[in-house]
Amino acid sequence: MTISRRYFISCASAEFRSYREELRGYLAGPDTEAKVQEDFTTGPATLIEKLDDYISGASAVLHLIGKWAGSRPKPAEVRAILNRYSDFAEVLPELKEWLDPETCPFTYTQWECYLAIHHRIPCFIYFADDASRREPGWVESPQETAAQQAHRERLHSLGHDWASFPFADAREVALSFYRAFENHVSGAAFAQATFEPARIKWPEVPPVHPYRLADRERELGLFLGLLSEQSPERILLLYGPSDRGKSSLLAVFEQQALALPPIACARADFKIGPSLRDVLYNLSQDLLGVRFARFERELQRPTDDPLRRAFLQDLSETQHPVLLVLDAYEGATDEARIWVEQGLFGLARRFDGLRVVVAGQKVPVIDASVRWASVARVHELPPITDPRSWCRYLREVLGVTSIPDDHVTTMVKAARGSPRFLGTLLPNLQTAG
Amino acid sequence: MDIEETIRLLQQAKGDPQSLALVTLDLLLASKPEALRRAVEAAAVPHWFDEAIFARLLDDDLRSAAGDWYREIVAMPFCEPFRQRGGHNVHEATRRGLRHRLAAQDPQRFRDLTRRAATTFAGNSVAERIERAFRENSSPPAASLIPR
Repeated sequence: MTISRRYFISCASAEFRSYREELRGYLAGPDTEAKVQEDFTTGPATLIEKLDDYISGASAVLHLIGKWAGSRPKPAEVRAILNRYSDFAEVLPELKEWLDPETCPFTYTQWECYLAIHHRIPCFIYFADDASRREPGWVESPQETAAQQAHRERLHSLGHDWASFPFADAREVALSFYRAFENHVSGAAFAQATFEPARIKWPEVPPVHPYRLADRERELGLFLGLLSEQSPERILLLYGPSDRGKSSLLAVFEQQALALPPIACARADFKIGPSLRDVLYNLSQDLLGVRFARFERELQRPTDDPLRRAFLQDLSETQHPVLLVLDAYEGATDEARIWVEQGLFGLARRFDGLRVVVAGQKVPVIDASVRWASVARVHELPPITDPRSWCRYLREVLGVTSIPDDHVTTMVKAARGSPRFLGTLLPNLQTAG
Repeated sequence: MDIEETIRLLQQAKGDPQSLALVTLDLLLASKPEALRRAVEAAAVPHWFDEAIFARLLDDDLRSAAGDWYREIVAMPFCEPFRQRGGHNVHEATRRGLRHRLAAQDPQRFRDLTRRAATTFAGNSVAERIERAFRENSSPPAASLIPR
């Protein structure tokens, strides 16, 4: 039978030796193999190269972190692996300062983890605590504990401590791994991935905060509904001609969202077709609280496809609810449209931690063929033709009482209720009023 | 801003977005120095500008106070942030209306401003090449090319 899945079990033998065989027992099957370090101790080539050969083609790596770091490869072995991947320090710049072969502090087990990350192999990290079962006779060592602490800090800097799992024994590791692996978002499987529900907690949505626009109660209602935990919709598409006040409304949306911590909010503008790379970079900079470790690494490379995927992968691992606001969508390039409609909306459909608002003179078309149709709402932003709305705006928002209602009514009629023009003119009338 | 006059001009626009945009702009600039109008015209030629670009677009006699004009213009309601370039742009309807009117009423000035913009966006970045291509292809009286 063909082997369809290959797992590598990575842990320090002094502390977790028995886990290796137990986990192999849980994970290996007719079409699945699970390997451990001991499987590679014989034969030509260095151990680290053989580990790398296997890990680079593995389906996943299970990496257990306790208080024992294990033994270190010789400088020649480190040199061999760095010769094999001359861009290692560029791909993982967070590790650069430790990559001198003569002094590199990484142990074999730690290398297994870093190699998985380097190869973008899903690496599931399990942190032992005091309740975790250890090998009989194992005793703690301050040097080993310090080495593992340094390893944890490096993983943190790499952004790979986002999903770690505590465990009591090998069975718990296996169960946790099965559940996480099925839900894991990885490379080509990204579009089909599913997520554990309700991982992200959206805040309680309060009533609408005061805002400085004429009547947009319906739109604010739609928007705040989108941010609620129970919202069946995750995408809001607003369209209308250039004078409908879309950008002003989006600014109000942003203000409302920023008043609702812990929502992380960022806005992109597609005017005059900026490159998707620029758009993603700006979004990543604005999304405070979301770690874009993979994305930042991919930024160093010239190819865009992994970059786009890395952004979504990083976004899918956020611990905070995220709102993305995309403006002037009619200006988006084909590249950007494909990413938004196939990648971003696909993620929003599957991932409860993400909401997207898109506005423009044109917005993505919803029809039965798009998979995100069930979580999207489209809304035409209307002109505000009811003079009473503008009278209220003048009196209650601008504090202007000197302009008679019938003048406002005439202006609203002449401007066809255009929020753009009335919203510009009315505040400036108050000086003469 | 006189309300009766505002209403009269709005009614004249007959709901046309570009005309409404121009009426709004004219009303906003009515009590301002004439030089500000020229600065707005310069800013309306390209799709976007930042302070350095804006300074190069200005008429010679305005350039020494470019920073002041820039701050005044970007604070006006017809200007909006152009986030991707860290600059600003004149809102689309206003920009189109202004360019159209300038090309029709003062084609020589429109040509001068367009030429200045093409020179300003002389770099090799994609954004500059795009902007330059627009400018090099818009000159009156080819009206179909004007409102870009």
